[in-house]
Amino acid sequence: MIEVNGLRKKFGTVEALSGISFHVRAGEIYGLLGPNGAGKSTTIGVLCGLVSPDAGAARLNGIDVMQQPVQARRSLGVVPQEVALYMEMSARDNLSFFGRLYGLKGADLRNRIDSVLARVRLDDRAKEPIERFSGGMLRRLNIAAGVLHAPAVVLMDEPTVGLDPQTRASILELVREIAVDGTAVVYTTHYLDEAERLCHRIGIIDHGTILAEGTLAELRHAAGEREIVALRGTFRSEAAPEVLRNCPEVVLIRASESELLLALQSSERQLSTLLPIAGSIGVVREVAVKQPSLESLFIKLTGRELRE
Amino acid sequence: MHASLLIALHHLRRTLRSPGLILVLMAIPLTIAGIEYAAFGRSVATGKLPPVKVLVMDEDSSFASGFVKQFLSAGPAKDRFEVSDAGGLDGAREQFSKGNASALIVIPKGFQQALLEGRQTDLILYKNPTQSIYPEIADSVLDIAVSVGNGLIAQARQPLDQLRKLSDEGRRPTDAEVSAISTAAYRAGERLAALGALQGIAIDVQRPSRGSEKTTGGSPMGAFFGTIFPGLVLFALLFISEALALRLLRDRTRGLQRRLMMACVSRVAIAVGGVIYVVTGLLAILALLGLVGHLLFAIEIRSPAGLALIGLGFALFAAGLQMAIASLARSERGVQAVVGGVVMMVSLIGGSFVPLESYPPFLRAIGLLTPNGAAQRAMVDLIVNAQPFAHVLPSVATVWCWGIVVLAAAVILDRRRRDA
Repeated sequence: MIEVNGLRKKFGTVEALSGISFHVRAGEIYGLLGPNGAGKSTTIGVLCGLVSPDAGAARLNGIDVMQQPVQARRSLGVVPQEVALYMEMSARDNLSFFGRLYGLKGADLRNRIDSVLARVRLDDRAKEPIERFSGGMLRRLNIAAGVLHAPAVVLMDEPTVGLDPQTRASILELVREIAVDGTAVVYTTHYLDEAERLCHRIGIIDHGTILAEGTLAELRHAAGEREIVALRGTFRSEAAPEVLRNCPEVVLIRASESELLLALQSSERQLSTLLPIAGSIGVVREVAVKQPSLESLFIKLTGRELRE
Repeated sequence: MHASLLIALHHLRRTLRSPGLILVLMAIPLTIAGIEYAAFGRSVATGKLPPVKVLVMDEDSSFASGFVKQFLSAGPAKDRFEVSDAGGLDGAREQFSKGNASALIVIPKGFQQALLEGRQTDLILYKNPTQSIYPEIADSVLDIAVSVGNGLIAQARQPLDQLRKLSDEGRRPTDAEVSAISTAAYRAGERLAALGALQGIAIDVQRPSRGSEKTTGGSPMGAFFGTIFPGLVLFALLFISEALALRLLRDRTRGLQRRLMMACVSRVAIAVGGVIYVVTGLLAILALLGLVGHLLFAIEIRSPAGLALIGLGFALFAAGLQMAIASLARSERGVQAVVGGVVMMVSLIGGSFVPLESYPPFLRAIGLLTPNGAAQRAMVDLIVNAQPFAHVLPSVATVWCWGIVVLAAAVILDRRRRDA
């Protein structure tokens, strides 16, 4: 359904995509995780035809997005992060407009609108101007507008940002239902728990490339059951690699003047030796330990937390 | 094209659902036209200056002072002055402060005696300090009236001298003296009658066309509005085009344009849809304002096809101008600031507020080269001067040139912005 091969894109001197590749099958929810500036938006921009890559190829439902952009977008539904809807119009009128843009009309359009409004549980508010809707209702309608034309591929760009847990849960359920129908879904999110609960496979992206990819179990295995330890205080960061050379089981992920980020086999066993070593290059004020998880893998791979 | 029409229709529907700002902007030309008509309209429409309200304070209460008042209120100056009694200086001051009078003429005590004695005497004119134009008109007209009065006195100098002599001697005139005075007065009257024959010359005011064709202005009121209304409508259209274009800009900042670009619609179709929306909206508003002008201000809608062609060219210009500014500006506030300045400048130079014929020649020439100056000239020529369309073709071509050039520039700028 979605085939991305070796995409490269430079904006001036900044390389936004460095040969990114991934595939998503029909009915699969693929989580694309990465910190800000990792290349998620550029990747989605290429798939939507908004950004022309310097090299590589992308196909949606077998159609090359660079060669036949309009035809490729016919198979594509996009749910943007922001609520991109016409506030002065009703839910039905919004959907009617987006449906017509995809060539739907007549009874087919009406039936699809009824069906999708029922799915997002807005059928009883269909004729109201949506400026009266709550944030959760608008997000649900935002999704409805993206899937109205029953696309083979749906790109969802952080559709739950800023929502309460209950609304988030209802939207995740909606995404699952969409995938059950055979739609390939690319889902970007900052919430790792969402990715863990929702996605069949996850790709961790940073600096324009996929660092790790697989099912949750595969990724956990890749994390090597290591814990992530963050030592916070004041450090001579340039001395960190040298002093840690004597601790072969400790992997330095990142060193800064305020934090040393390390991967350990067992913090319980190794902290007692690690703290004096860290103390030799600075002052330790706080110790934080993260158990092996998708988050610890993410930090290990990118050196950053996802919210950064 | 189908997608472009779909997008344009969609935007028009949205505008109809929240037309508040558009209606307010549409009220601008109607309000300004109404105010201008209230201020100048009735007199300008009938081709005459409005009468100047003048107060008279007669301190002499003589035959001669009565003659002066008669001259102002019923004589040759009767159409220029609306005369009423001042009721003293305090009364005049009060009338001045209320704006009910533009000037006060004081006929001083001894006025008649001075005339009889052949001495110079002064009529005193007080001008209302709160007004500027009407007191000057009163001054000019009174100056002419005094010249005429001095001429009359010169003609009647002989019988006046005889009357003064009898008065000085304090005796009854003899039959021979009565006969001599009567004869002199009769002869003066004959000379005055000869002067009066000058009234046989009248001024027939005509308003010839700029070309050789015969023109007609329709009803006086329609001619008045037909002259000022097009400029005001074009001014309002520029601001309305801003309101329409701002909707598209908001769509851009709220991610709606991006969503359209991610749908199966080409970028060209989206841009063309936006242009069709603004141009169609402006044409509809122009037609509506024209209809209101016809019903409310008795403007005759001549050559509707020609007017539509001018309107279309101007709408293309307005749409292009807004799109170009929206492409360059970084925010909605930036667009509003730039558009406000550009619209005011173009409208002032183009003669939306002050008739172009009042401008000095070089500025008039520039004004006629502006899109709204050319459009206004063409519209007035069609509506008021009943010119054939061929006569206004150069102005129409100017408007269309602006429309095409500015729209093309807007398309290039929009493409650059999206590529960036």
